[in-house]
Amino acid sequence: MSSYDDRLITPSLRRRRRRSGRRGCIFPYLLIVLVILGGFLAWYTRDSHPLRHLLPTGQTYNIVLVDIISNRSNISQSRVWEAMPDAFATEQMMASLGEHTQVPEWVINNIIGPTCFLTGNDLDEFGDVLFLTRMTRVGKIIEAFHRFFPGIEPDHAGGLKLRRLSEDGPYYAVRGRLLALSPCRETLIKALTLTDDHRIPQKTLDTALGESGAEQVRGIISLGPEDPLGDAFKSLSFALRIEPLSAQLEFRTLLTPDWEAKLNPILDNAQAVRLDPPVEGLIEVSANLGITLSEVWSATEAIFRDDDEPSAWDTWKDALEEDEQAELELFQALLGMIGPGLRLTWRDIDQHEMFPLPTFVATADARPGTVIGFFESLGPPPEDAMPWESFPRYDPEQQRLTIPMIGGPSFEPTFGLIGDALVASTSAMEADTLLSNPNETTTPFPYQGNLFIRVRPVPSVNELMDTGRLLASQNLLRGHSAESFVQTADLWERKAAPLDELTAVIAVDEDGSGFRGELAITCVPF
Amino acid sequence: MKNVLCVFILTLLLCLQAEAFEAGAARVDITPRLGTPLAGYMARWGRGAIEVHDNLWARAVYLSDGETSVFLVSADLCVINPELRGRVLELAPAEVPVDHIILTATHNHSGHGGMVEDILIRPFTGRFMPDVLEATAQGFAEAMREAYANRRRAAIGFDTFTQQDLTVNRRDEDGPVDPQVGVIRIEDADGTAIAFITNMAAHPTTVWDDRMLSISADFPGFFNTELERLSDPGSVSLFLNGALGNQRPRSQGDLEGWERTASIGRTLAQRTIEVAESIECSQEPLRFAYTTASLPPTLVPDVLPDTTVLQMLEIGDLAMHFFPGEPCVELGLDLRTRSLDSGYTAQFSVGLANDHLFYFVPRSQYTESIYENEMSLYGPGMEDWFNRHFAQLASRTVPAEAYDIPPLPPLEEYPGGLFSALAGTPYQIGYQRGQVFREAIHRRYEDRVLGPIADGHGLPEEGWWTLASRFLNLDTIALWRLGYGARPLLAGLSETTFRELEGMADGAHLAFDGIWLSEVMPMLLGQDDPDFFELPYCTLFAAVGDRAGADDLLVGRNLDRPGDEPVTVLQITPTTGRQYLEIGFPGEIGIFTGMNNAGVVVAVETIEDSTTQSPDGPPIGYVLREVLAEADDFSEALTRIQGATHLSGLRVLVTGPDPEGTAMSVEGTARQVYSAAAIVEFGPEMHTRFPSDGLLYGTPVEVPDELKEEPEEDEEQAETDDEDRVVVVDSSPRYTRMHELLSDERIISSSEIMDALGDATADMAPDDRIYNEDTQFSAVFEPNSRRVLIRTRQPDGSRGETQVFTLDEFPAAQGGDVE
Repeated sequence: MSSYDDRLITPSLRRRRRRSGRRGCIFPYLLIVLVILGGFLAWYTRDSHPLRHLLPTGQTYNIVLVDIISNRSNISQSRVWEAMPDAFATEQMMASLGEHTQVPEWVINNIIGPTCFLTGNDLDEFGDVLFLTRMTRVGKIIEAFHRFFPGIEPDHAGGLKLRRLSEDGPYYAVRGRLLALSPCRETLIKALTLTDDHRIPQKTLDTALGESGAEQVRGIISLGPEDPLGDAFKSLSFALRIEPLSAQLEFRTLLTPDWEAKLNPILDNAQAVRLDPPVEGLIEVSANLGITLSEVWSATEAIFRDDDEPSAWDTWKDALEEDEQAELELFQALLGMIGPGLRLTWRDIDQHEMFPLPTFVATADARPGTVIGFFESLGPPPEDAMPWESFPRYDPEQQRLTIPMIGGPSFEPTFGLIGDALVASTSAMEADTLLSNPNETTTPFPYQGNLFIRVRPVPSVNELMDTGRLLASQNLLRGHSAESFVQTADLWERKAAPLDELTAVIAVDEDGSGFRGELAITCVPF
Repeated sequence: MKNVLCVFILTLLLCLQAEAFEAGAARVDITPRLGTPLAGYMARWGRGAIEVHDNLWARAVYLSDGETSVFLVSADLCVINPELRGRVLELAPAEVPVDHIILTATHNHSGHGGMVEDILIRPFTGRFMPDVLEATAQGFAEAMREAYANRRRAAIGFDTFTQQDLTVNRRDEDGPVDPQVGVIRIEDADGTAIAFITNMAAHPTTVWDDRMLSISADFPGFFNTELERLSDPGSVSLFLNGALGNQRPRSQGDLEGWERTASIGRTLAQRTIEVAESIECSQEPLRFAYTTASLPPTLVPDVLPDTTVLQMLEIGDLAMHFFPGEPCVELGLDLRTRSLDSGYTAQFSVGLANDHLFYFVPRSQYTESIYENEMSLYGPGMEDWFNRHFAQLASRTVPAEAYDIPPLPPLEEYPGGLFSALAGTPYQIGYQRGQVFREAIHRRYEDRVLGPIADGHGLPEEGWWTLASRFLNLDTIALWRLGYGARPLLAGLSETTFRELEGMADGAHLAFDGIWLSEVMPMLLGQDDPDFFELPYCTLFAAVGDRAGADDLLVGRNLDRPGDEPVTVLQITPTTGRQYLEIGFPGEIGIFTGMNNAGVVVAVETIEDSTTQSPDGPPIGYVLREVLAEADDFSEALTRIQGATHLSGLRVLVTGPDPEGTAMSVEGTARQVYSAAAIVEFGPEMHTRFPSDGLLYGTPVEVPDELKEEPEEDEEQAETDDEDRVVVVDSSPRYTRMHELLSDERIISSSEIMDALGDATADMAPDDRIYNEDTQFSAVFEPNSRRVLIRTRQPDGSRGETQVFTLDEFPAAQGGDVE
């Protein structure tokens, strides 16, 4: 039974009812519409603009972010951020990165593609950074409905059809499926209006995109003379991966011609070699530049001195008495015997010494016969010298040289030999321990390069803070009382706590044109 | 009945036994391992020992008369530091209360260090070695335990003898020496010696030069070993050093090295045993008293404590005083005199007991540049401090300096200023001043001393010091250096001022050196005084003779300096010396404006572009203060001021009664004037200027020709004044203005001077005005009426109402026409 009241049936309703009565016949039309719509969408969401069309050439930095969305959980949860200074607010940034935003996850996944590109020239404030990503087709369609999203304002820009995310937000534009975004309107306009000869060369872009590895971020920074470090380096390329309990940074720098020439005396002989292990400690350094310490010294000193200035050696020599000049020459000769391998370790701070003193241990490649000859050449102290006076004292039986200084054994430089290695320490106790346990230096060491640095942040910071506490407790630390230093120490110890180890290995390029290296941070498990 | 009697007698004997005198002694080797740093000489720089010449011992004796029991420990160490004492008391046997444990060091400078945690002390004692500290403390405890275990019924006796050939005053070969050697013998019921305690004052510093890193107990070690050898087997010898601050062993003929060391020890032992053998021992009663005393404030509170333990042991009629440091011999001899006068038959001063607060020098040496004084850090009054506290510990009445703390005097406010009347002994006046102005005194100390030190002053400006002071707070070292460096400047002060400074320090609860540094810091650092000497534009004026009318003398002065502190008028009435009024600011003890009851008035201003003060004597404020406190007339005051030749950059107005009188001619009539005035200028050379036409200004002014009449005067006076009365046209604008305002008046009144001092002529540069924005007060003195009129600056910049202050007594005015 019909409950219709005919008076209420409008013509349109009647038409609809008629159509519904012909439902079986409309499907082909619908299909056609869908095909057309599909075709339109396929055309609309086509990848019409190559990436290079929006990428200017000659940018100071070009950075590629790989799978940044899928990796963001790993990145945001990394303990590395806990060690960053509070002023950087990295922990809050990472926390917000890891949180679910109001934008649905699937939308973000479709808007931000697997590869993102950052480029710009301003290394100080990154005010002209240009962000490029390739959206999915779905992402492109979603963006097409931008009018329905609050806060997105259109910016005609002479027909370039920019949009702005909120009043103070960045500008963006869409070309094909490319999404270009920048806080600087001019940068965006420039990117959208590039002529072919101002675009990044395809080969360069392919190179940048093609270096796929495990990294999440990679890039190249070209430095000008006005940029930080731009005086010495012309470019820096890097690849970075951040995991919850680690971070690795690989980098390569190219020296400017000026600095390449300056460093040539140091780098010319530097070949990446398997480095020898330093003595274990809080901070360890192992270096091998293929030349002696004396040569490193001279070359380094020459870098910072004008050509017409006398060398530091000559200056010192002129300032000394004649008998003291001989000692300086002996010291120079000793440096000439040390190398090319040199290892230095900061062991600890002896807080019980007359003044709290850091303890260092060094081992170095040396020719034993020459070193012993040097020790012997020093001769005995003057006959009337007291046993504690600061004259070098050589014990031929133990092949051990000591120089009594002030205080206790932590300030008694001591030298000896283990095989082909010269052992030196500011502390007689440390030197004697090492000399009596020579095996300690022969542990296999996997690092290859010219410079190795390892820092153990937790014990290093603890050692420094304990010393600070001791000084502050006796009101000897400028600017701190015992109470105020507690806060400082807490902050440092909290920042260092997540970090287990920082390791850096640096190698000189074979042609001496630059350096390459790897920096690794490992964290303490949660 | 017989059994009952036996039981009764037995019980009685047991009771007697329980009350009997008991003693035991022991020694324990505390020699550390080689490499341990030695304590005593900074010249060792903490280096470790390289040989053991003779062992170090902790020797302990247990004494008990049944009621009082004590442990006395003497160790072959340089000092008993707080870390060691603290640990020893933790480990000490419980049979004796810890407060009854006396720890002393023989003060050998070749015993081990390594037991001090304080970084600033480590240069003297070397690296801190907790294991050495623990082993040493265990040695002390073991010695006490063994001494207690070895206790048996005993008797005790004492005697003294003198020596002249073993010790000498190390600062002055003819200086005071304590020749006394005190000996205590303790023997058991069989007469067998248990222990000897010997007291003599001398630094054990014979192990030196090539033996500097040898472990040795020095001459006390040889002494103890020899005495133990000469005496009964098993006896223990304790050496207690005395008031040794400035005492050292005397040379022993041609003997050197170990031979000399051994000779001193063995000679002393041989003489001691002779005396000890003749001592008759008995059951002497013991009395032990101690206190934890609050120390005077020190300039270096980060290094030194604010309390210390003082102990006194009485064995019958023998008084033993234990000093926590190194008293100079003068303190020991003084205390002995006081003790013997009080009925004790002998007195031993024992140094290096329980703590080491460095040296204690007598007040008389506090200004001297000597090591003992450099290491004396609790102010000049320590001799009185010890006497006072030891007197309180004694069972008999021992005289000590009276330190009657006066009541807090009222501080009255008047518009723009404060007034207080201080009276009493110099110490009491100072104490009152310190109490009343405590806050201002501390603020002044912070501004003038701590501020510059925080800015890096006070440390050598070179090398390591510059680098280290960037991250290390070395203020303690700077204060130490400056405090000691300032003391020679005290040398020119009178005893009265010195005592008043002491009282002021105590009243303000600030270190004596801190008070003094607040005064002389600008001179020490070679910089301008941060406030007073910053602006030299004060005003000084005097009218003499008929120019002052019936007053005979009127003095006016403006004091200009920045700041908004209230002007403070203090009426000082000392028990001896002259009463005076000083006009200044809270917390200042130096006087820049004042008048005494003899009518002497002083006022000072600084000379422009010459404001650096010389550090060769007391500051001007102290010179003038002593003038007011002591000068009876103008000529004495002038002589005193002219004698302060170390001053520079200053101009001092001095006026006062002139009993001799000076002939002056007024309108053709000769008259004898019994007041005089002068300006003493400490410029490149000292120059004294007298009034011209009865008027005297801070700088000379151009006098109109009609006023340049030559007065009739005797030739001698004319010669003296001739040069001074030359008219100089290069005068300060403000004095020219004063002259404009006052010279037309034949007779000038107080109110006219006061009005002139308030002149702020608009067409003069602000700094040139008589009354300018930095003028704090105007004062007009009427010396013959013993009055001073003061108008202070008000918050709105105007001058307040005139306040009148008077002095109580004044000699009768003199004067009259020349016949």
